[in-house]
Amino acid sequence: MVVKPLEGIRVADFSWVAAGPISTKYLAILGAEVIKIESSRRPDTLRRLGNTAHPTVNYSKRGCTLNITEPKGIDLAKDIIKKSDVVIDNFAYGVMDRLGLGYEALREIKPDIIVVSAAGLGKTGPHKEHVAFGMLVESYSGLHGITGYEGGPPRDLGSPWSDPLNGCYLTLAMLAALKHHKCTGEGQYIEFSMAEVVSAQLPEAILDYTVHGNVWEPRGNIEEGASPHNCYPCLGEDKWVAIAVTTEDEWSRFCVAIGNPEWCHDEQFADRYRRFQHRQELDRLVGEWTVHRTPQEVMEILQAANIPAGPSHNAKELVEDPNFQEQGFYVPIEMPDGGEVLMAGLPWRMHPNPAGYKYEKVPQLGGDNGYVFGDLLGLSKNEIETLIEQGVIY
Amino acid sequence: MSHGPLADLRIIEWGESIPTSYCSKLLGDLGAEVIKIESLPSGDPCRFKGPFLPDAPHPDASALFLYLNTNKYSVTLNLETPTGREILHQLLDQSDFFLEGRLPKDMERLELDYDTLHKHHPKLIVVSLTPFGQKGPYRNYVTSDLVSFQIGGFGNGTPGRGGNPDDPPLRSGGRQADFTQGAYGATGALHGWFCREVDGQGQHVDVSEQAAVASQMQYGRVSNYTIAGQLQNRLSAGMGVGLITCKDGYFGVNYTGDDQWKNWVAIMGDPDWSKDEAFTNEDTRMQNRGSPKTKALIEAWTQQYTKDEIREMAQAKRIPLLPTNTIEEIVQSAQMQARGYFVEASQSSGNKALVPGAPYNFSSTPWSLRSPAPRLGEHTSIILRERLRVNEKELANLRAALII
Repeated sequence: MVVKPLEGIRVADFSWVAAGPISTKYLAILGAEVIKIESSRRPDTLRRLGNTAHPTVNYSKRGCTLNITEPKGIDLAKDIIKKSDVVIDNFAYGVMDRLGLGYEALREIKPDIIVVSAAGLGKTGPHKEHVAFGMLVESYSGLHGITGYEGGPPRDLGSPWSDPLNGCYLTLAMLAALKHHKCTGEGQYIEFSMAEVVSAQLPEAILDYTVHGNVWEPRGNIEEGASPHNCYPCLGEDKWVAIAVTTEDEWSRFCVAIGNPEWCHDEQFADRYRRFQHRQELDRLVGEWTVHRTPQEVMEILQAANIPAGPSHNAKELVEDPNFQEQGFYVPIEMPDGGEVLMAGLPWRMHPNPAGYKYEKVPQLGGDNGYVFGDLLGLSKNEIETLIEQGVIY
Repeated sequence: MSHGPLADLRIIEWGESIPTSYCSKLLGDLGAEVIKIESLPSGDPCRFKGPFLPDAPHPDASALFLYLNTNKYSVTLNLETPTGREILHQLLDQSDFFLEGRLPKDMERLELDYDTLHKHHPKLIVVSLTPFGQKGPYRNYVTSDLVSFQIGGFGNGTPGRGGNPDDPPLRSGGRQADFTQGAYGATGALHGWFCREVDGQGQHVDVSEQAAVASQMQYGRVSNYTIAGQLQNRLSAGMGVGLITCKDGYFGVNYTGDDQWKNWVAIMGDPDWSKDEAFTNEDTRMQNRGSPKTKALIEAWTQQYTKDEIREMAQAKRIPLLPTNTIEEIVQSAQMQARGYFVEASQSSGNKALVPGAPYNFSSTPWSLRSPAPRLGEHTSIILRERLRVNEKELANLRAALII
């Protein structure tokens, strides 16, 4: 039985909502023991909203309740931290310090502790105390300003982007810090501005401004100097296919693949710059071809000619996508009520990966209190009961 | 001598794509050594993507290439030839990671598939960033950022509630699928490192762009479907009331809880409409706060103030509200400037451009830009001489044969 890569690593997880929890979920899948520290005073927002997001971002973790507004609660938090390798929070500026759980305080308990602290705009700067999360962060970062229909207003895409993305970068940072610790025994403090993570992925727009002074507006699905490059209507109820032709070579193959209609040879489509200039007309003509075919048919025809094309999947199509099915991207996870539901697993695959992945159930609120306070911290049943009565384990 | 938590790691990158370049950039910026292999004659196609600094296309002038390739060495190598591949194998002998972005069928053709690589280099961690992964019916399909964004499910929420059904699904501005795949790739690479620490064996890290986008889509519409059985369509999706206009643009606000709504309404001067039953009735308040009608009422007030003014007023009352910054505004923002987020990156010519900097701040092992983006093949001679003991005569022969 091969040991999992993060076996033996323990994470004290004070994070809530989405970004932090997603990152600790990834660490849990890799074998870390993640202790999700919540409180019945203020359960994780996602739990409160009865949200389907909560189970998806919190499986494979142990859940305990701890009232950190009580001094005894802080002591227990420190006891958990003393036995942990990583502490993560995404509280507002000053909260961890006020609780006596700031980095310097934690270093006294465990000198080599790794502390990760994420906030919308970061923990330094004139706006460090701004209340900022989720889609507000993406709006702030510049992403919404360059997203939207051509000529239309800036917008989001109806689903949170910043939180899952920060979930990835937080994991990257924690793995890097854990590696450094493994090699040197040294811990450290890692500070995140979630907006900076989103902005890091906008270099073309940022450089067009810092180098040339151009400020991008929303530009729909266009790609400069390329057409057809859009989503096109297909056969079926609200079905669409994405097609991206960006080279002259692809255009030649595209014309052949769609049966070499007359209009392919029009002067206005003769090279990619002219095709881009006349993209509205070209989009209309391509749409007249796609509308008679399902997205799957379009994908097969064009992919056979090595042209990027694929359906715009809704949630059902995503989960049933044959490629995902063969890869096992969606995995069955046990819900608190005992049923099993398919949820997104690790974003990448590992082969041969003899250790496998740790896919375990969604924790109940305080469901692992016995383990955390009894087994891990060594408290007796009586002690635990007393702490429950005192509203500390709560 | 580089510092950073990954300073002892050696990566060979043969990507020539945005995802692979960004993946190794993330690792390189944290200290890893990255040798970037570029094909002859013209190398990474990104060298020809604008914007250009100075303003004329040239393989060393692309500012996007600059952002993606600081901290890397460039070695030109023709991997279509057996000799070129032999040189690659010698470099892989001295490396921890091989990062590549070719289709599985192409790697098989070149005898650079994982099983072959593992036989020759049992400790090597191979990180493959492909459109659709190593397994599955689409494994040898091609993609583009727009296509991955749609087949990964993220675009299917547009135009959203109240939208026009003839409007197509959108992608995010820029190339979010490409960059996101790079970020997941870097994270997966470190997962591979930890696996190797257990048993000394290399692993194959299989990063699909479709899966990267679907990971961004892990909850929301997807978990609403799998857990609650609700299938949202493109016109029922959407969160909140969307962005709100004001004097000089847009902003986002998310008042959860009664107190925040009351404070927001107070900032607006407690207008009469807010005293309406629609807002005082607990049952209907949540719904009405988020309606287009309410948005219009709010905008009648906000159009008098700038984003900055509204931000100050709202944040003073702890209301979650942030401006929708244009690119100009984010670069100029007081917060980003104070944090020193935007930094100068250098081209080998000495030209500099202001680029996004560290997405995280490590106290002991900081992020750093140590060397400029390389010229095409800039380090071919020095790497082959120093690492592989190739002498001058051999170098000349290799050049003449167009191997390097």
